[in-house]
Amino acid sequence: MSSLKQLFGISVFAVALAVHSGSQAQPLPDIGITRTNGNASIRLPLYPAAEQFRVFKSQNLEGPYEEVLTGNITGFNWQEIISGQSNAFFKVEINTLSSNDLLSATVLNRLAYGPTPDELERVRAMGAEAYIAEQLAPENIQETLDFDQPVTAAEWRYVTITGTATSRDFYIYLTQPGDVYLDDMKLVAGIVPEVGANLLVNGDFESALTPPWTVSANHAATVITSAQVHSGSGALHLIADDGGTSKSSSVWQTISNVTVGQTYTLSYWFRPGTNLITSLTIRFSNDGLRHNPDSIATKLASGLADLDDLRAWHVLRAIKSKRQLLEILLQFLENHFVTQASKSKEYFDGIYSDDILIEGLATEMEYRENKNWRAALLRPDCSFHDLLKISAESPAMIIYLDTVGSKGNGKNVANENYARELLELFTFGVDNGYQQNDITVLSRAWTGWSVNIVDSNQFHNPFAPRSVTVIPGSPTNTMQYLQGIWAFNYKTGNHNTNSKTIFPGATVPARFGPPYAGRNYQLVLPQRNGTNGIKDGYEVLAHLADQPFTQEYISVKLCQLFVHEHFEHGYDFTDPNLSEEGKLVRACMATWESTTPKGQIRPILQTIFNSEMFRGLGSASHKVKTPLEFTVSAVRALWSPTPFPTAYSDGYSHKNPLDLMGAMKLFDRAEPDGYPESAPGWISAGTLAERVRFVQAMLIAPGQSGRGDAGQITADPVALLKRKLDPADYNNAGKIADYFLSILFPGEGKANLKLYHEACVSFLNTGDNGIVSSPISLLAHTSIPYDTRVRGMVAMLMSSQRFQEQ
Amino acid sequence: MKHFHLVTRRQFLDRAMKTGAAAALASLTNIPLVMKQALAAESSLGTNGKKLLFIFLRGANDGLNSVIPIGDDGYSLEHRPDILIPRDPGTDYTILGGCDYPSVATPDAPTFGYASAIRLGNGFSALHPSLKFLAPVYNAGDLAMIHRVGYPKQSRSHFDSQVYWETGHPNNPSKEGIFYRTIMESGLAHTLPLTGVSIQSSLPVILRGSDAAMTNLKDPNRYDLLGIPNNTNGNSKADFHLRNANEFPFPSRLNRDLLKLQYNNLSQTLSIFDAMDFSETGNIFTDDVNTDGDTVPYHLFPTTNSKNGGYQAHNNDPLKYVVNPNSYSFFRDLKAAAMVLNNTDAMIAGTRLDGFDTHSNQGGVTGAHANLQRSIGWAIYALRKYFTKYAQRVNWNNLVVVTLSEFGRTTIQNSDAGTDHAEANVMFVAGGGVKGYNKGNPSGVFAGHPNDSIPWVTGRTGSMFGVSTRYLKRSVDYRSVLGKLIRDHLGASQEQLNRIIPGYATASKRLLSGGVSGEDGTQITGELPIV
Repeated sequence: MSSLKQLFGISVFAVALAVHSGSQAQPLPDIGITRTNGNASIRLPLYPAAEQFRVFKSQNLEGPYEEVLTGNITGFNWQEIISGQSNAFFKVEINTLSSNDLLSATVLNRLAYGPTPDELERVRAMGAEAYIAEQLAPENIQETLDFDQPVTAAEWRYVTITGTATSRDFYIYLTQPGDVYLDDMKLVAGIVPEVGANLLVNGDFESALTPPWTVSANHAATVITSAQVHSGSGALHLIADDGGTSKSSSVWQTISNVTVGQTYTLSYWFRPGTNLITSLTIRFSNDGLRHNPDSIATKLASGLADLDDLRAWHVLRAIKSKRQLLEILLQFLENHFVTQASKSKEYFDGIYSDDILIEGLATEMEYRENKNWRAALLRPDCSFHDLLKISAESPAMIIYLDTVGSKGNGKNVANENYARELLELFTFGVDNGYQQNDITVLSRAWTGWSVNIVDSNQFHNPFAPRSVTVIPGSPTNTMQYLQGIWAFNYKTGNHNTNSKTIFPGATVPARFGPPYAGRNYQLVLPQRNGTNGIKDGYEVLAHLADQPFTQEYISVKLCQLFVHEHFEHGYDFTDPNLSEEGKLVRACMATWESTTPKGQIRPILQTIFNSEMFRGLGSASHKVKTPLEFTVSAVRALWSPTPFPTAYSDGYSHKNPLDLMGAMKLFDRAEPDGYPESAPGWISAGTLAERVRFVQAMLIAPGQSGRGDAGQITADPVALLKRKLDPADYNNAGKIADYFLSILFPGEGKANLKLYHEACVSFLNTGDNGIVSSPISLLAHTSIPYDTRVRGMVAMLMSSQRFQEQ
Repeated sequence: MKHFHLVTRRQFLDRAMKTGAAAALASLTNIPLVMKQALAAESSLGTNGKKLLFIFLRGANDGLNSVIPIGDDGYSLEHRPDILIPRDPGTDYTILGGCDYPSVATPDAPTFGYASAIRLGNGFSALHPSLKFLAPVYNAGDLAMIHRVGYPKQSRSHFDSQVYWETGHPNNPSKEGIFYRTIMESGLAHTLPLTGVSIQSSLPVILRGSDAAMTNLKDPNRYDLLGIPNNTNGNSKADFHLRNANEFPFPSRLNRDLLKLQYNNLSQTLSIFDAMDFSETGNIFTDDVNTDGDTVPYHLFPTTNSKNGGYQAHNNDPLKYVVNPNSYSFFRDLKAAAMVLNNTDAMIAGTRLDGFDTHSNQGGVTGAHANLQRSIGWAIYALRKYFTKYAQRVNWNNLVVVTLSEFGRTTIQNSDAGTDHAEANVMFVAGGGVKGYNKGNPSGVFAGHPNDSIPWVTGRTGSMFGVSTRYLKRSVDYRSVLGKLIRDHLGASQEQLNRIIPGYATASKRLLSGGVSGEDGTQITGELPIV
C-alpha cells in the first residue's frame, strides 16, 4: 500500500508510505514533511502496534528507494540533514508487531487478568492460538493454588515458601485469639527447601522456648508440647489470647546468620488446634518473606467466611489461577447476574441477631453461586440456559430481587422486580422484545420462589420442609435456632395458579432476518396447582434462554467484554451495510443457534476469538480496565512466582482501593445492572488519582512510609529485573526501560513507546530531586538508591495512561 | 438508556461558531466565552454561575420534630410521650412575624438552653430548639422549609427509598442519579475537570451514571500523588514525568481521548487542589459575628473540639457546644464540599449526614435526634456565612443548599421511645436566591399550614394520620422541589428538566402545576415558589 503526499516549499518532496502490518489493514495515516534550513523532517505517522519506522529516499517517484540510515528519530519526528538542494521523494515504512505477538498481548489482556512476565513468554512461545485453545478447556488445566487448599481435618500439613530477607527479625503470630501446632521449622539459604544449614535456632522445638525465641505477652500461653508432634518429642503449641501484628505481639527471634537482601526458603509443618481455621502468620519484618497457611479456603469450605474472605479468595484466584478465562467468565457472571450480599444480610437481619452469622450466611450464598457456575463452566457443553438456571435458583437472587416474599394468590399482586430484570438485564436486554404488560404477567410465574432453611442434605429439593433440627443447647426451637442450609424453597401457597400468556401473539421482528424473523414466541403457561406451579418458572427460563433477543443481548455483552465496549443490541441484521460489530454479534448468534443444546458458551467464545476484529487491531488496547482488572493486573504485571514471587497480594488489600476507584464492591453491587464494562463509567480525575496512588503505593518498598493505600500488596521490580535481564545489563538504563516497557505494554509496539522509553531513561539517570544528573550506571545494583530508582520508574509507567488500558 | 445530548468539546466549539452573542453570561471562569455562548442558545444550565450543595440526611429524619406542627393537637404527649418538643407556656405560637432566635441568657448557660419549640412566626409551626441557628437564615428570607414531601406509592425501605430520591424516578429500577443527569444535560461532564463532586465514603447514586464518572472524594487530601518511592522530596520528579507523559502522542484507540482528557483533568485538579488547603490547618473560616454572648466568633466548620463553638468556654459540657463532637467528620466533609464549590468549576457538590434511623431512644429536646438537628441548623447557618464572607467562585446569592431524606417517621412513637419508617417528610432549601419569609413569600414554611391550598388538617384524623392512621400524608412531590431548583435555579430548560426527571411534564403526574396525582390519587401542590 502506498500513498503520495506533496509538500509546497523551496523544493518539492513527495512521500510514499507503506505499511507492513501483522494484522489487517488500517486506514493509511496522514504524515507531514517539512524542510527548513537544510533539515528534512518527517512527522512519522501514528499507527497501532508500530514496532519500527524505516525511511527510504529516491530521486524519482518511481524509485528505486534506498533506506536512509543517517536520519534521527525523536519520538515521532524523523530528521535528516540534507546536503545540496536536490528534490527527493521519501517513503516511510512501518513494521508492526507480528500477528502472534499482537494476539498474545490481546489474549493475555482479555482472556486473562493481564500479562505476567512468565505468561507473556509462555504464550508467545506456544502461540496465542494454542493459549486460546488451552483456556477454552479449563478442565484440562492442572492447577494447585497454594491459597486454596482447605484444611478439612486436624492433621499435619507441610508448607514451604521462598522470599527475601528484609530484616533479620523473624516473627510467628496468630492474628486472632486461638492456637496452632508448629514443628520442624527450617530456614535455609537459597531456593531449595531443607537444603543447607537451618538458620533458625531451635526450629525443631525440641528444647525449651528460650532465647533467641522471645514470647510476647499476647502469646504467653505458648508452650513446647509433646501432645502433638510431627517428629521428635516436641512441637510448638502457639496460643494467643489476643491477635498479633508485629514483633511486640509475636513469638520471634533475630536470626544472626541471615543477610538482608538475600534469598531464603522456609519450610515447616503445622497442625490446626482447637479450630480448623488458624490465623497464623509467619514472616520477616518488612514482609520480604511472609506466609499465612491457608485459612480463606478453610473458612469458605466451612461456611464461616465473611464477605472480605470471599473477596480475597476471588481476587487471589484472578491473580494466580492458570484458568484465567474461567476466572474472567466467573466475574462476568457475578456481574451479569448481580446479587447483593447486603440485601441478603438485611433479610437475615429479620431472623437472626448474630451479625457474624448473618454475614456468613450472606457470603455463603454468594460463594455458592460462584461454585455452581464454576462447576457448570467446567463442562464442555455448558449453555447459557444452565447458567441462567443457576442464577434463578440462587437464594441470593431470590432475596435480591424480591421474589422471596412475592405472592400471587388471591388478591395479592406479585412483585415485579425479578420479572423485570430477568427480561431487561439477564436475557432480552432493555426494550428488546417485550412489553410492560409481559413483565406484570411474568411476575406471577415467579410467585412461590422463596427461600427456607432446610436439612443440609435437602438443599437440592425445593419442596423440602423447613428443618426441624434444633441446634443443641438452644433455648427454643424458633427459626433462628434451626440447623440446616438456606436454599431455594418453593411455597405452593404463594403461587398464582392461573394460566398466563406472556408475549401474546408476538413474533420476532424482521430486523433479525432468517432463521429468526417471524417466529412466534408467545408463551402460554397452563393453570398449575400445588407443586406443579414451580414448573412455570422453569418453563419461562427454558423459553427465554435461547430466544433471538437473548442470543443478541448476551452476544453483545460478551463482545463488549472481549472486543470493545461499542456494541449495542438492536442491530438490523438484514442491513447489507451492517457494521462489523453487528456482523460479529450475528456470527455469535449463528453459533448459538447451531449447537445442541443451543447456546453453548465455548463455541460462542470461540466465534469471538476467531474473528478478525478480536485478533487484529479491532480489539487491542481498546478497553479500559475496571478497578478489579486494574489492581489485579498491576500485581500480575510484576509477578513471577518462582523460585519466589516478585509481587505479592494477600487478596484482602484490594477491597479499599476498589472502593476508592469508584465504589466497586465485589459481591455487593447495589444496582441490578452490574458494574459498567465501559470506560466513561470508571474514568474521572478523582478515580485516576486513586489508580495512580495505588500503583505508587504498591511500588514503595516494604517498610517505607506512604504505602498504606496498597495494604499488603508489594512488588519487587529489581528482583524481577535480575531474573530476566543479563547481569551485564543491570546498569543499562535503556535495557531496563525496554524490559519493563515490553512486559507492561506488550501490544503497543516499540516505535510507539519511544517517548516512554526516553522518559524512562531520563528518569533512571536523574536524581530523586528531579534536577541533578545521576546516571544509573554509577549506582550499585544492590543499593537502595538503585532499588528506589527502578521502583520509581516502574511506578511512573504503571501510572501512565497506557497502563489503564487492556 | 442513552437519552442525553452529550456535548463534546468539539461540538461545543462548533455550536459556538453558529450562535450569536451571549456575553452577559455569568462567570464560570474556566469556560471559554464561546462555550458559554454556545450553551446559552439552549439553556443556562452549567453556565449561569449557579451552584447547588446537597446534604442527604440518611436514615430518615423525623421531620415532625424538626419543623413542628405545634398548632396541631395531633402533635401531643399522647402520641409522643418521650419525644415531644414541648410548647413554651409563655409563648403565643399564633402571633405572626419572624422566627424567634433564642439567645443564651447568661454566658454560662447551655447553647441550646431554650428547651421548647421555637416559634416560627407563621401562626402554626415551630422549630426544634436545636435548630435555633436557622432563625437568622429564616428571618433573612433565605430559608424555605417544605413540609409533607414524598412521592406516590411511598416505599418504606431505606434501600429503595434512598435510591428513588437519588434517581428522581420513584418505583423505577433505574439507578441513574438525578444530579448526574443534570450534569450530563449541562454538557460539561466531559469538558471540565470537576462538575459533580461528593465528599463521602463512596460516590452516591445521586451522582452515578454509566456515561461519565463523577468525582467522589473520600478525603480531598488524597489529591496528592505519592511521588517517588522512599523519597519524600521526589514528588516533583514523579509529577513532572506523569504530566509530561500525558502529552505523548499515541495512535488512536477507542478510549485514548477520554484517558487523555481525564489525565489532563487530573493534572488540573492537582493544581487546583494544591492551591487549596483541605487540612485541619486550613480550617480558618469563622463567623463574622459573635453568637450567644461569647467573646470570640465561632468557627463555621466545627471539626475539632477547639473549633467547636462554645467548647473553649465550657470544655466539659457538650450541651454547650454548637454541635455534638460526633459530627466533626460531617463538618469536615461539608467544609470540603463547600470549598470545592467555592474554588472550582464544580456545579453540584454534596455530602451526607448519617444516623437518622431513630427506632429507639430518639430523644426530644436533647438526645440523638436533637444532636442531628444541631448539625443541620449550624450547617445551614455556617454555609450562609461561608459563601458570604469567603465567596470566590460562587456566593450565597448563587447557591442553593438542599437537604434530602428518604422518608419521614411515624407520627406516633413506638414502645422503644423511637419512631419507625413512615411517609412524608420535610425538606430544607436555603440560599440567597431563595424566596422565604418576607422575601416574596409571607412565610418560609411551605405546605405546613392549615391555610395552605392543600390544608394541613389538624387533629387525630388530620394530615399527620393521613396514611394508615399513623403516617403524615404527602402534599408535595419531592420531584417538584428538585425540579423547580434544577430549572429555575440551575438554569435547565423545561425540555432538559423533562429528561432529568423522567415524566416531569406528564400532565397526569401533576408535578408542575399540582392537582390530583394520576399515580395514586393524592392531591399535590405541584411546584412551589421557593426560588
